Amino acid sequence: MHKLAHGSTLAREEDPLFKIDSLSFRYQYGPLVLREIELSIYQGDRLAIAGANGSGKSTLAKHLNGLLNSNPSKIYYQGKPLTEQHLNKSRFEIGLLFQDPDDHLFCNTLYDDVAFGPLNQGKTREETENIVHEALTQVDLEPHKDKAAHCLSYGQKKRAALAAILAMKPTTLILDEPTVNLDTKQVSIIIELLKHFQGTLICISHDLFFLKEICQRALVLQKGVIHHNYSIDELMAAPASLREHGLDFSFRSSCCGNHHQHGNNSHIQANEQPSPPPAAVCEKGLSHPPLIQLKNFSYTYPNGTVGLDNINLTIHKGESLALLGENGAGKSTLAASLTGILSGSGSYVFNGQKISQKNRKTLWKDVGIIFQDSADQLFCPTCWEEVAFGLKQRKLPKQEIHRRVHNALDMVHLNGFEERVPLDMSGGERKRLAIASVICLQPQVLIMDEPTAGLDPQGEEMFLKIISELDITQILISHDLFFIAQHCQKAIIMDRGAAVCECSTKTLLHDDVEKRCLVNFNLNLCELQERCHKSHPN
Amino acid sequence: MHISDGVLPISVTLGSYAISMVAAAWSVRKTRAENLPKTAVMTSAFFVASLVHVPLGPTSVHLLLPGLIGIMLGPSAFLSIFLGLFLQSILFQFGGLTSLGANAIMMGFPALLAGWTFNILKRKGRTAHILAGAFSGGLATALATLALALLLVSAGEDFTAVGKLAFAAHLPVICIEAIISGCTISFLYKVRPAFLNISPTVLEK
Amino acid sequence: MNDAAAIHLDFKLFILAIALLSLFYLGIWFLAFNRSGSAKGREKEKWFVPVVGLDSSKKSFFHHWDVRLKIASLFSYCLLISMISEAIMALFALLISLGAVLLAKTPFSRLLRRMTAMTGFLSMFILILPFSAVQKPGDQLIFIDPFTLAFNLRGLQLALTIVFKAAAIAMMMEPLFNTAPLPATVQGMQRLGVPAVICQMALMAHRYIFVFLHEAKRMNTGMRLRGFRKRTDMETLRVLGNFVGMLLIRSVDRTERVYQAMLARGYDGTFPTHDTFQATGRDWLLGFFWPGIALLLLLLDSKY
Repeated sequence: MHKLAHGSTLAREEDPLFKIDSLSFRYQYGPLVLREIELSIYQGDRLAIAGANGSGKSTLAKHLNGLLNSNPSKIYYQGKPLTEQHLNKSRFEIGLLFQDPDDHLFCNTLYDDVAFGPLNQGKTREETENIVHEALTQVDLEPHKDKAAHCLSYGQKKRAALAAILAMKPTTLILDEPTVNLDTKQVSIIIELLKHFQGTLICISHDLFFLKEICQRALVLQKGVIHHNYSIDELMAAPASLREHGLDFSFRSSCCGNHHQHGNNSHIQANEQPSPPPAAVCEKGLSHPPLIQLKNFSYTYPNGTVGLDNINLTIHKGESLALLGENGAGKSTLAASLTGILSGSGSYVFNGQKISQKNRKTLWKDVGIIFQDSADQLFCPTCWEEVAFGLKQRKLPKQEIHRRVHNALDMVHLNGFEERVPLDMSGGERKRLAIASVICLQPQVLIMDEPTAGLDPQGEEMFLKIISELDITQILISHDLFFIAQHCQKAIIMDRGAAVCECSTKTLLHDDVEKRCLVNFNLNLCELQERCHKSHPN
Repeated sequence: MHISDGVLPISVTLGSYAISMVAAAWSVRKTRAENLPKTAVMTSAFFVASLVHVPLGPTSVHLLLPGLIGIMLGPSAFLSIFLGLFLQSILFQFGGLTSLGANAIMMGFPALLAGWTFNILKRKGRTAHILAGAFSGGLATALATLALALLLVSAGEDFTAVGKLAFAAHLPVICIEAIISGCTISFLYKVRPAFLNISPTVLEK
Repeated sequence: MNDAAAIHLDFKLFILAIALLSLFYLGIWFLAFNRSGSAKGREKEKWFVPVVGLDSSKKSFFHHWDVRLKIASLFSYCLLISMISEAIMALFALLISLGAVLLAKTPFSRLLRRMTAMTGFLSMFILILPFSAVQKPGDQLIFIDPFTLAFNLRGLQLALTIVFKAAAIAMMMEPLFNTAPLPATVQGMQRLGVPAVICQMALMAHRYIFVFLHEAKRMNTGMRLRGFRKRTDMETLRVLGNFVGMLLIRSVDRTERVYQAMLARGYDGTFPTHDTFQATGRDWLLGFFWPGIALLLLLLDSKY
């Protein structure tokens, strides 16, 4: 282990805004989550908090807002401990944005949600009216102010939650994973908003490229201990230490040229190995009859929204295909149609068999899907039962079930987890368990919906390794171009329910080196399409 | 199992409204202030859980879960049920606005009792918890069914047979509720034992 | 039975009546459930929660009516209607409610959904009361010949009264809850004396129904995609027990986060209110109109 390094940014004359004195914390019956944290945050700081899943980032953030204060005498805000009167006053100045926007939107109209804070601050009705108008305009949601939160898209909800906090005019803003599950367009909107924010900013994220855009200082947590406290450039410049914290992003930079390679070549090569040369797979694919064939496939939701618009798609056996597009472009709808959850119009041929209303119900045997949120598909009390669930439904003999469960857990490196409770496991482990529970049914196609959202880079790497070892047709839905470039050969870009173009993933990233590093949030759909059409002029 | 509008005589309607208002007020007082929003959110969870349909031969029945509500929420259960029924009546027309009081009594008091019996009966160990849960769940549903029958009978002597039939028709529901409560308690025991150990609830006073 | 007027009815006629009745019910079921198509539609139907009060267009006088007066007036109308004891008067009440719905211009589909939700419970009365009603002097009885069953017309009338009253009151829910946003309606209830705690909790519970509904639907899909089909057996019950347990755990975790988010925005135990109400003379006039009509019906009812 390397030395705990503290950068020069710490030495400052003025009094810190937040001061934390050797703070330790444990949840009831749990292990220590924070150990002896010493931290000063100054007025106007833009601080990034990074670290692997479970390193105590969110717990630290909740302390800064006094939501967790088992030991209030150790946290000072503006020189006073965060308790009682001072805490109530401070809460109006410290805004905290959780990961799930539904937690923030507890009223029945957006207006009420955004007005909640200002009214609690004692603003009059007229003042509030203006503030709400201003805040909603800022996040571009003014026309939706009378809508209920459940009528909005995920990106809109995220922005609404941010507006609800900005409406309180906080001087400090704490954000917990603000970019998870958002497409590149939504992320760039959030970045713009945060760049205009004048006060102190504290941001938790795994997305180092995002952090680089909005923060200057970085704090790296590991197992509840502050391991680094330096400028964000120093953080980005030291991949070796990042790797130790599970924050390695070099497998990302490896595909965007030399920009961030600081002498860690051996590691990068190791990462490139799993993805097979695309040409070979394509040839292999073409020699087979197509596995999935959609012709003029459309789907319209009961409320009249067009989900899929005349999709023509052929997927060969053994291919890895990526689906790209903005939130709401129809990627998940397409996935749901392929699994037989939704039945659209047009023809869908799976493995030479036309899918009708009747055999749509048995498609689950051949098409497996990994949901974006593991909680949606893990509902058993133990890992063993979780994996065995589908096998039991297929009424397989007991021995076969045992064998398959064992193999599947082995494949995702979860052996020994048989009796563990899925709900208590980390995000990465749960994702792997979800794969095991689907793979054990031996489907022919595996669909993954945003599998890396919310995983730390280490978890991502492990996930990538596991899925590249699978000998199975794969469809990957993701916003993460790097991940797609690593794993898939072909990409389909979707827009408003239609498949607008199809191309090899290499073309998507084939551009000047400088741009590629920021591709994570700067590439919008139009650019992607342009690139696509350049390579396939038809 | 809800009494719809227009069945009960006005005296029963108003009387049950009065009783359930008093009980709801008691329930609010018994709930710590910080747990009021939490109880509201749990109410939505139970609302959604009650949409689960269990197949029963050719038809299916939806869950009622008075037992589980009582076990999870303790004294706050009555309040939760009152709110849940209000929402069910305005959204679905299950029950009705005028019979809200009667329905709240019918489900709410058995739920309170279930929370109490679960605490009395539970012993160390998973099986004991499951049995206590199943018993409380079954008991709460049985009492709710009995209350339904009695309320129907209160509408006049002509309704005696209807009351009896309603009770008989709900016998399988009682069994299903008991089993589901047991299974849910078993799951909670394994996955989040804290919910059951710090009982009646996380939301207890 | 001695004083009761007895009519003997042919068995065929009885079968015919039963057949007509079941056709009527089948028709309603068909209308309500089969619009979204076959079995798939029915599976979806079970995970469907209709929305109330989302309609913000001001298309009828119900929409413009002061919410407090609307609630007070329509609720007392409902209570008074529930006191009616004659079938014919209940039928009049039903027609008046139907008129109110037509005036309020709320979507017909929602009305239909409300009506179908009650069919199960109400059909029990229609089917049983005629046979189970206590035979009193003056009752008209129809004997169905091969059996010793007596069909009591007073029982049928009783059942019909209940059905008409229930429908009349249920219909009034449309103008009552669907002509203003739900928060405004609930705020109106608060002004009328319903405790603020209850009102705020009801609104919050309403909001999170849709969040949990989404979670439940996803989990349901996740189960189906791993081959789970509901049957009448223990295994199904066990899995559903897990399902409910999982739903509860996720929601308890959420309660914690929601409460923290509320605290972080300065929640101190009360929700701020910001709606203003203003009642005009017209509002008051309307406010007295509905209970007035109900009282008139009651008066006629007692004279009948």
